[in-house]
Amino acid sequence: MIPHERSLVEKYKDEPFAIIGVNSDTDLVKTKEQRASTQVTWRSFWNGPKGTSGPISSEWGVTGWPTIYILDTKGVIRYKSVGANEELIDRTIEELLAEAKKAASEGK
Amino acid sequence: MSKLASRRSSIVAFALSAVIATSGLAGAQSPATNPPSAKTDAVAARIARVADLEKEFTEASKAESKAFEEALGANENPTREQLTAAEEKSKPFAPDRASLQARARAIVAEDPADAAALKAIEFQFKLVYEPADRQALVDQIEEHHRNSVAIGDLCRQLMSLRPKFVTELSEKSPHASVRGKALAAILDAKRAVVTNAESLKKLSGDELEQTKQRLGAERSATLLALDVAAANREILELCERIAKDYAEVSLYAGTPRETTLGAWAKTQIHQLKDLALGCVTPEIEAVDLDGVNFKLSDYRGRVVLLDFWGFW
Repeated sequence: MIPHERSLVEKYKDEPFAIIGVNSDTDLVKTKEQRASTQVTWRSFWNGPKGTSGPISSEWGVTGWPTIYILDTKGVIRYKSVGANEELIDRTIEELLAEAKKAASEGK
Repeated sequence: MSKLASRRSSIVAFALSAVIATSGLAGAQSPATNPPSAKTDAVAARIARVADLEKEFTEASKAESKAFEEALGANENPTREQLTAAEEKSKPFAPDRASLQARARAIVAEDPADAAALKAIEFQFKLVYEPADRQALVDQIEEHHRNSVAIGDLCRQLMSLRPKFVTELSEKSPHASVRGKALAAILDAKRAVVTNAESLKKLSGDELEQTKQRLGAERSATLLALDVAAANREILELCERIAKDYAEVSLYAGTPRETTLGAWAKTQIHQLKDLALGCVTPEIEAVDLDGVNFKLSDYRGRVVLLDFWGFW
């Protein structure tokens, strides 16, 4: 998923789009090294020292990794999946960006 | 999830199959507290032998994963051929499944009905993949262990193999913990069906046709026809029943994920009511990887891809 996310960041750099991670690694030092080497430029919440049992993933009931949510500009959940179906993810982002543009042009 | 597993699953990356792989309700069971006797000593010795088999299996699996990772090196996007080659290189380190199975069976044969036998049967689920072989293991469980308290942690596994038996356990097991865990396994399966239906309904064109073929005509038709709202109402009722009747049942005992069915059911209810499609997300406020606090709502006005991830 990381290479695909890199391409999304590049593709939508001029659009109202962001990737936000919830990272469930436990070793922060190692994670930051890997973040640099894999060019993960987007921001992530840290799920804390308990890793995959940490507070954010527990609150969100996440039991499989990766779990993906896509939110529209109002913060409404429009897509969710366990596992990453890149085609569906791309299509959803396209649709939501188009929807946002339309709403903006209609002055909503 | 191990890196090996995640890399492999990325090859078959598809939401429908990945859903099935999400974690379940298995957890360690606290040991029996009967007074010591020759009988319990013998069972304990047999359980220790199963534990040895599990250790052998785990260590070989780790060695296999390591060899696989080393063969791939820093290659982040391996081709199918490269993956196959890496698998070939890791094969010599793989567990000797036939030998492990023979030894597990020998333990079962000594006394098919005691706690050690159940553990030896459970262990064999890691070794055999053929549906007929897995069904044969379920036969043994049905015959000898339906009144066992340890069967609770097997319910999720049994759900995919013989759902009727899990329904029966949820009604007739003499142990509240087993009835509760059986209901939780039923609930998990119902939720997976809803998730799969939602994913399938989003597809169109070639992608839909290919997926229908993969799932089979009958299963696809059932999923496409599912009334998601009604199914979710039913799931919510089941959650509330678990939270009411089985709140104290312990889950994942002895692990960092230890919780109770009550807390687990509350999370499920929260998911259904607050984290479903169409809901405004709950706030997340926490530190980023550099220790700086921020909020999910800081990103309102943008389309956000929220990814629960890790390098592992």
